[in-house]
Amino acid sequence: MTPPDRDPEMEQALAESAHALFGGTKPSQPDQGALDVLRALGNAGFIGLGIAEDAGGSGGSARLAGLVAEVAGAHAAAIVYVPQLLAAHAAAGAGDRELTESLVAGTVPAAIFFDDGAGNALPSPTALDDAEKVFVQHNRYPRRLAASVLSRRDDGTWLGPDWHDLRLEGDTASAVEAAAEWRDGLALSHGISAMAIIGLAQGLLDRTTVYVNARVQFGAPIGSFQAIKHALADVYIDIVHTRALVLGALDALDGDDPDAAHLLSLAKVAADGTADRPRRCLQAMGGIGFTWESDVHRYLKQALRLRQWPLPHLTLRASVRPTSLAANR
Amino acid sequence: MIFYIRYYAQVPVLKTVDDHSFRAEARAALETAATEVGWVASAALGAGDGYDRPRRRQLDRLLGQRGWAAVAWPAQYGGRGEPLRRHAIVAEEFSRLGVATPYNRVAMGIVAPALLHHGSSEQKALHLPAMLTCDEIWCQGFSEPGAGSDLASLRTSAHVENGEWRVNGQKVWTTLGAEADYCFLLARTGDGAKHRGISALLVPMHQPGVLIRPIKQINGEEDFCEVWFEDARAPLDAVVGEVNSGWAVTMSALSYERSLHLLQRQFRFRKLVDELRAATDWTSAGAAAEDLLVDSEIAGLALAYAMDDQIDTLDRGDAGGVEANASKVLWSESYRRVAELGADLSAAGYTPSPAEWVNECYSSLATSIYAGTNEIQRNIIAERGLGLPR
Repeated sequence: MTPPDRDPEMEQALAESAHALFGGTKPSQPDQGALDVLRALGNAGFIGLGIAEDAGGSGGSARLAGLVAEVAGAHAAAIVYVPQLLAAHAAAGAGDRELTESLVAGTVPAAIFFDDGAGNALPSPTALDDAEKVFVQHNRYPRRLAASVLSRRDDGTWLGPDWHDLRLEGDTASAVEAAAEWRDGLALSHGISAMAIIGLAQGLLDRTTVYVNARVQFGAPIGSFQAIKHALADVYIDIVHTRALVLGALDALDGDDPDAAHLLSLAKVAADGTADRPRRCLQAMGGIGFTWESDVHRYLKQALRLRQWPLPHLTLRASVRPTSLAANR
Repeated sequence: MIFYIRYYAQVPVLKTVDDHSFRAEARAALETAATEVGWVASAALGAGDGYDRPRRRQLDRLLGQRGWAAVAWPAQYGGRGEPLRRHAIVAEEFSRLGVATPYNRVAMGIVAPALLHHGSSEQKALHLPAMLTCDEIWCQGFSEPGAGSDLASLRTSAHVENGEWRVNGQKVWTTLGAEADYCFLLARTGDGAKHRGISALLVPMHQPGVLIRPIKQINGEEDFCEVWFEDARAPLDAVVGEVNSGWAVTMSALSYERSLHLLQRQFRFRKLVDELRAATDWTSAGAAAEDLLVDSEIAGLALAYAMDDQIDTLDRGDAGGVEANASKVLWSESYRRVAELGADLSAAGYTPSPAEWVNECYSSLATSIYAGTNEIQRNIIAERGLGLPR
């Protein structure tokens, strides 16, 4: 039950090295260059975080993986790191060491889907064109989750545009290369996705504060106006608390706390609200924030996609209502 | 059908996993004292500062005498020299007894921290033990009719005459003014620029030059007062820190107030959310109400984890950034929302105590105003935290 001891200095060093890596890439066009980024992430050991070394990972904790996801978000590179990390966890959970190692190394790009049990399998926010492996996590039974691995079809497509096909039954087992229990998959995905959203919000807040300090209207930097100050202060207030909650929930997961999955669901609901924060930053930037050439839309779009992933926001919200919890006890 | 799901209470929010024995010791000490003075937590919804004050004073006195009222203070003043993390554990145990804040809350939350950091050894020895046992009740004289958010524009003045301080001016929103023995008062003592030339004085309240008028609030309580000082006297050595350095003294005290004082308020907020969850028929309340409850639970957890981080920061001897300002805003606004939810649910008959929830709504409105309005907090966050221009 006791979370592992934290090492703030090591966490700081990890974050700095992640900043150097993501900051040195040009993820502004994620479809190009994503493979290079993946390999760099693999070389740095970031993709294997939270996976035991004897299972093909880099060791460490879910918390550390979350901290790297946050930095990925801050550089608008969440869509490269998050799916690969979770796919590696799924492969490790499925006990496929060879596949785990290739995913951890970043040499085999992957996508991951979550079946919400109602026929909706949501693709991870990654560029599917790059993926060589697609993982599906079934969530039809609240406490029994399984990871499946699909291979690309001969014609180069996956399973067609109707993702309902991904509801694997016995007769589609030929598509399954490996399947096993992956108990923490959904909970971990909530935490990692949430940290990426927080990073996206913080990264855009940082850029916005630079802008409002420089942009002059009515003879003064617009950041001196209380309407702007208070809007951005609210973004900060939201980030600092949501971040504390998500990290606390990831610590609970690392400590095998039985409440961890529920805490991570709540933390993801909170982060989904944080996904709306880039909108406030866009508003503070005014017209320039609405252009394709500014970076704002990349942060906004990634955050809004992660808001619906691994589960649609409304599905997740419904699952944590008092009546839902009572029904699932 | 009434649900009572315990998951929430089980979440170990304070990192006390390796500190069970201290918590058990604190809990036993508090429960013993509560039994001795006949303190019974209110059966009514999250009783506030006004509930059974005579017994609460006895309870605090007893626990002060036994070293449990301020464990983070040095032992020589009645504490135990413990880290703030253990102070937080005791605060959490107080909240289990239905005690949201210390009886002598201005003394414990603002004045004592100022004295501990800036007071002379004589001031500490004279006042700290007496605060701990509620033998000295304190109020704070900060705001004035013309100096609210712009506190540094205060005009109450003090000058030395015949070897003592003479104070003249008017204070307002003086919490506990009507029963206080002393006032921690800010007065202009020099000609320096706005923030300079202010001193923090320890002024006795029971003297002819002090006039007090309680102010009735919208919730019916008379918690704070207007106070007039007309040539009121204070000894020459009643200045905290250097003369004309009162602004810095006060800012450090207020920052402490935001951190640890808020910690206890936040425990009470979580308790209120827990009570609402436990007492409500959620099968009838509807999804909209359920979502609002979940939002309150999330706010409670997020505050607890964030304040937990802040305690770590303070225990490392770091004053921290603007995190405590952020928590003050989130706490006060979340508290208002859960009170409104309780009022809505109780009006519709899904949860009991409609009158108490309505009163809770009224009380909640003070929280975004006191201890620095939320607007001022947002300015501080933007300027000191985000680096936006003043």
